[in-house]
Order: sequence, then C-alpha cells, then structure tokens
Amino acid sequence: MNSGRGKRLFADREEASFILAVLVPTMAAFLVIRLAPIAETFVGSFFNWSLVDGFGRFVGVRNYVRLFADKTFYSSFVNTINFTVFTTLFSVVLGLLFACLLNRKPRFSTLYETIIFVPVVLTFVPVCLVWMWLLDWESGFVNVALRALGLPRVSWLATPTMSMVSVIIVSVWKVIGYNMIIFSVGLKAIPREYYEASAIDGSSRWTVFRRVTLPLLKPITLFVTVMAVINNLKVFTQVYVMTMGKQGGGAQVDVLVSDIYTRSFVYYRMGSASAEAMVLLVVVLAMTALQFRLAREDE
Amino acid sequence: MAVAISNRSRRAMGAALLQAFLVVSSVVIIFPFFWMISTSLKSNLEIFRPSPTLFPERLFTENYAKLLADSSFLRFYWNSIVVSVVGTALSTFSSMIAGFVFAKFRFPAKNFLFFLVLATLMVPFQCYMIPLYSMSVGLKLIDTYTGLIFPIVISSFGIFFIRQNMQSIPDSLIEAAKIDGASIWRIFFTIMMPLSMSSGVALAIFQFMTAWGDFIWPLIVTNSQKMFVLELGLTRFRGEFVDDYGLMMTGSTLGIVPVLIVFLFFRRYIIEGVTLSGMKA
Repeated sequence: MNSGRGKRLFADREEASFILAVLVPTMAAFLVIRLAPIAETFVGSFFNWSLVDGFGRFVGVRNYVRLFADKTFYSSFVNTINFTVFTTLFSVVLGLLFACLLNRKPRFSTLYETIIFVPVVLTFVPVCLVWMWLLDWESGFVNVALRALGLPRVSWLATPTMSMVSVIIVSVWKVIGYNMIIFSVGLKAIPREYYEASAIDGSSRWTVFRRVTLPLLKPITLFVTVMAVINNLKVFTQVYVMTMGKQGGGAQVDVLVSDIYTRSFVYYRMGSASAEAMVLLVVVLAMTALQFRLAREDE
Repeated sequence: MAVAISNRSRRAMGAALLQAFLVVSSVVIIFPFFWMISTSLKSNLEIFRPSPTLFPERLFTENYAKLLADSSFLRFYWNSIVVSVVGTALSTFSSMIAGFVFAKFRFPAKNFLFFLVLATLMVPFQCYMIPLYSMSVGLKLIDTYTGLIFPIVISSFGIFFIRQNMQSIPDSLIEAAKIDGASIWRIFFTIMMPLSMSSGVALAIFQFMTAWGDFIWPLIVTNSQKMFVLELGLTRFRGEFVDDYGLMMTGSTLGIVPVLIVFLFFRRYIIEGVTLSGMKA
C-alpha cells in the first residue's frame, strides 16, 4: 500500500499546521518523559547522585566499580538469571505443549484455550496473594493436599531458594497461555501437506513433531523465547509482593529491579541505582539485538 | 479387518487420553482462580478448618459487604479507575493521531522522528523511572493523579501499531474527502478513526489492562494511602490483615473484576491482539 511516501496528500498550509499541532506535543512528551530520563539515568550513573543534592559530584565509573564488587548486586544478578532461565524454559515448553495438543482440535478446544489463557489477563497482586494463600505453611491448600496424600509438607516461602521456586511457579503459571497463543499461530501456518507426507511415511507422532513441527517452528520459538527472556529479566511485582516488605510472607529474594528499587527509593542512592539500571538496559538491548540477528539469519 | 479395528480403538484411546490430560491441566490451571473466589465466600471458621471444603458450605458475603462499605478500599478502586481510564484514553488518542501523521504524511525529518519514537520501545521502564521520580518530586506531582498518569500518556508501541494499520487504508479515500472540502481534522475523526476502530479498540484494551495491573510506578509515586491504586492497596491489606485470607481474597476478587469483564467481552480481540502485537506481554 501507498504509505504516503510517494506523493503528497496535503501540500498546503493546513497540512503543515496539522502536523505541527500533532507532533509538537507528542514529540515534546517523548522528549520529556522518555528520551531525557533515559539520558539522565545514563549520565547520573557517573555521579554521586542522591535525591537531596541533585547530581552531586562526578565520580567517573566508581558507581559501576562498586556495583560489581557489591554482594547484593551479585546475588540480584544471579537470581535474575536463574529466574529468567527457569521461567522461560518451563513457560515456553508448556506453552508449546498446549499449543500442539490444542492444534489437534480436540473437542472443547476453545474452552481449554480460554481457561489456559485466564491467568494471562489477571493482574499480578491478586495472583500473588492467592498463591501465597495456596502455599501457606499451615492451612494452604497445597500443603493440606500433600498431607492428605501422606507426603511431607513443603515450606514454600521459608528460605530464599524456596521463595524463588514459588515465584517461578507463579510466573510460569501466569504466562503459559500467552506463549501458547503465539505458538498456535505458528502451528496454524504450517501447511497440511507436510503432515500428510509424513503420515504416508508412517512416522510416529513424536518423529513428526521432531522432524516437521519443531524445525518449522524455529523462528517463532526464538521469538517467544527472546520475548520471554526480556520480560523475565524485568521481574519485579511477584518478587516484591511475595518476598519483600511487611506484606511479603516469604524469605526475601533480590532481583535486579528490586535492587534498583531499594537503592533508589529506600536508600536514595540514585547514582548507584542508575548504574544498575544501565546494566539491565545493556542486557535487555543485547537480547533485542540477538533477536534481530536471528530473525535476519532466518530470512 | 482386525488391524483396522485396533487402529480405530487406538485412536479413540488417544483422544480419550488427550481429553483426560487437558481436563486435568485445565483444572490445575484454573484452580488458583477458583480458590480465590471460593475463599472469598467462606467464613474464617470454614477457611481454617483442617480439612478444607472446595465450595463454601454456606455463602458468606460479609467480607464483600465489609469491603464495599470500606471507604479506603473504595478509594483505591476509584483511583485505579481514574488512572486506567484517563491513561488509556490519552495514550490511545495520542497513538491514533500520531500514527495517522506517521502513516499518511510526508514532512522533513519524518524518519528521524519515527526512529526516536521506536528507539524507546525496547527500553525497560525501570531504566528511566528514577528521573521520572525526581521530576515528580520537583513538580510536586507525588500523590497526585497527574503524577500517576503522566508516564503513560504516550506509547511507542501504540504509535507503531496504529501506523501499521492506517497505512493499509487507501489514500484515495482521503483524497476524495479532501476534494469534498473536508478539513484534515474532520478526515481524521470521520474517516481514519472509524476505519481503524478495531486496532484502536485492541490498543485501548491492551493499555487498560496494562494500566490496571501497573505496580512499580504507583508504588514509587504515591506515599499517602489516599492515593493508592488498587494493586498497591491490596498489598497493604496483606500487611495489615496477615491472616485474614477471606478478606484478602475478597479484595483480590473485586480487584480482577474489571479485567475479567474486559476479557469476557473482548476475548477474541485480546487473543488476536496478543498474536498481532506479540511484542509486549
């Protein structure tokens, strides 16, 4: 379609005034609430920035040097990576599994699809609260059920490791439906003939899946995986609600964003927090760049 | 013949197994949601019974009555409605009109400006929230609706999404209206907006659900309980009534009602929106 690049639709003053009336406020907003703050975070990461005395002294890369030697930063980084790896792995595999099963068009598939998608639309705080109730040591449904089956109870939120496991469970549960939907679009795009050909070969379902479905789904799998990684690197709400502060029932887990939050809004060490925000930005942009590269290779 | 029968019965068994697996998975996946509602309708006595009941023995609606008469809970709810509705309206409108400009006009530095819009698409909010906060402190926007809403009045994704959709509207429609003497504003409101209604609705739904669930910015920009949005208010609930799960589940259930209504009414839109956008979760 013609995108307006070819010829002018409105070559007059009315056009110029319309464009200005729209773009001046829009671009000003982008400048003030997106571009400038991003630049300010970058610049601020080189200053002894605290809320009270503005940017303060220029300290070069000291914020970064201190950050990389900081124990909390180190554990936040490791926890974020662990969270990202496991949540991405399970949510992508389960999303693919449900997409494949529902693609066989069993009866009631729309109903199943809707049910699996419900957690995606719920918001995180209610979701975390109900999961904390389910995982409650004394009267939570999960432990009651385990006991009824004669199994030992699990202290889901008592140690940092178990807190992390619980946060991962909640996060996977919430996003399976999202991944499933994207995979099911990819599956619908696979031409029937591929399957018919392998049906004639008499290959088993598993062979067909490995030889036909999986290779054809490679681009979409990469897309879902990278998107999931980027989203998981930004994890915060679940961790905050389930493990931090007085509402958090569980042993505290630090992740990058919660550490940025604590540095800047609890200790008001904006410089150090900005340096950490830049680390997050570099990781996220690296993942984005990787995605662009992989997408180009596929073409 | 025997082979054909066994093939058929094998297939029937496969289908049964598949159904069994899907039923069990669906039950497990929907269970937390069910448990939230079920708990909200039980008395504390029933909630903490050693062998819990699946469904409430007797519908206990006192928690609902309590919360719906609780002025601070209603205030959280109202704040969430104001922030989500105003934020959605502003960002959807700004995306539509800017998307129109980028889709249908030629002007100097167009590509550069569009690049600026897209450049921020992948930058996490956490990478610029600190300056937004110090700006809010400087402009006295802490604990105000303006402070809660201003970061979401524009959307790179929205502009990008609407531009893609408006590019497919034929120029000839605009030219015809132009010849009839319609102003550009008129063309925007009477031709472009109605013709891209479905993408506008999809975008608005997406923005509304994002705004309703937003957590980190309200956490930062509000201090006084009076200005808490619901998501934030619910975490304070948890702090105050640690063991009152009935009340917490009632608050949670009420908190997801708006997104559930949107989901039930626009299920197709949302599922298609996910597949189209894909970019944001």
